[in-house]
Amino acid sequence: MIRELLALFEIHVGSYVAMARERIAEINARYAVPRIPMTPAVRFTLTFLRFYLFFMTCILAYKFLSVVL
Amino acid sequence: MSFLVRIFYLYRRWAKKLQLFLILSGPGIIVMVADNDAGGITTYAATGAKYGYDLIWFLVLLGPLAYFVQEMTVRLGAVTKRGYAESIFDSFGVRWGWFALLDLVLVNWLTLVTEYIGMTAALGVFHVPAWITVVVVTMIMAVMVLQGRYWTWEKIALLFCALNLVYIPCAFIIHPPLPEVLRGLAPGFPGGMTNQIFFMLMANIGTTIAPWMVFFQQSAVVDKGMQEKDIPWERVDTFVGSLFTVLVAIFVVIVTGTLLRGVEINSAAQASQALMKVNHLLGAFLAVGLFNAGLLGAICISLASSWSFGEVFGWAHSLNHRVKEAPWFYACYFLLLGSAGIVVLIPGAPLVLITLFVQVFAVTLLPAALTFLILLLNNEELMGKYKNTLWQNLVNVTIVVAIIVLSTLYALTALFPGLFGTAAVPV
Repeated sequence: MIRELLALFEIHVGSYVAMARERIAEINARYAVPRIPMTPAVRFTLTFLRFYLFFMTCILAYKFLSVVL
Repeated sequence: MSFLVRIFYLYRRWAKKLQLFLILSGPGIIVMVADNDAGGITTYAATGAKYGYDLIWFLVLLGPLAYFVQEMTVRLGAVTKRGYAESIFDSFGVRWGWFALLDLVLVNWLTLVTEYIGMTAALGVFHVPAWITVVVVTMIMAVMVLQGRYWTWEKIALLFCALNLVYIPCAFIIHPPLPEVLRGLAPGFPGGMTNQIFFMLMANIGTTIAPWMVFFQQSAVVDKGMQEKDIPWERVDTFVGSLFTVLVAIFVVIVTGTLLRGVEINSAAQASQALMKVNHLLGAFLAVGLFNAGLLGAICISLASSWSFGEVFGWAHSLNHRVKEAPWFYACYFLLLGSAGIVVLIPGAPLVLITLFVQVFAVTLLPAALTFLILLLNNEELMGKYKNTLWQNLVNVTIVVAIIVLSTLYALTALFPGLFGTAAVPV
């Protein structure tokens, strides 16, 4: 009985995961190419954002490690 | 006779305009008033208790700041007919899109937990058990969305917005010294520009613009079906909302500045309890206001996430849809609400840590969200004649840069309290 239930659960979860993966792949394909014209200003701003986010992630990681360790 | 006819037509014209405004208003007022959520009320209460009326002038400046940022989302939503999450995916590609969406969901979920903390603490003042608060609040929010019409949801939300004005009569009850309050409108820093005051200013800015506000208003404008021709009305709506948000902030400061001057405030619930000792009615009003602020925040934040997921995944995602028509949209909404509510009820849950991380994670999303907004509003292909003018760019870029710098400093101070010689963040 339990084995059957587990199998049923696995099938359902499996189908949901497969569906989600399919949907995400679809989204990735649909938005693969950014539509905004990559002018120097846009390129500079996005690069700056990447550095900013990298900095914030490092700070967060440092804080997390200093709390845990 | 012709004079009377002219007066009559003038009256009819203005009555029609008012009618139209009442039909079209909503997203702007709701987002702005909901901005004064549980965290916001706590910050204002702490500001008043620490500096009295001296920083009222700064709160007045926050109104235009919020207005200019939110006005951009109005134009973007009305012109593109798309929510903000979808706009980011479409214009900046999947990497930025997934980053914005997942970060938004994380920040919103953490913020939702803090709204539940605020609401349970507020009703805790009246000895209501936390689990009852969580259940009742979740039921209220369920009823609001399940009735199947955006219009009804909006009007109920506006009713809660009206309740948020409870702080205004509070200030009149206590008869604050008017000349001193008016002196607070003159710019100045009590005791000079110290680290403590800088921290308080940063905290006030941090509560004024949150990432969910950008996503929420644009999605609400789209869900309401607004067109380009409605932009002027939605601007008025946003402007009225920004007036309300500033008024509420000022009146909270007046109440705590009058009665709790010099008291160290760490939470709005604590302020309510302290006020109850001075004036029972005022304490009760403050607690009810805090509960309402948390409820409004929770209503908007949970919807902002569900709308964003719906837009990106292509699910039906309108409040005009019934549950059967938009099951994933509502599932997402209830999953967020339920999980945030449960976390608050877990004994020993790290609620203070969650409150701290809200501020920090918000700072990873806010600069990106605001920068994308500026870039999108400058895209002529997308915005046509509604793109930012030179003057709008000057104002908006200045505001965005100031918000990014100050909110980053605020997050760093929250993470490392001793960094600028400042105290801990009010929770």
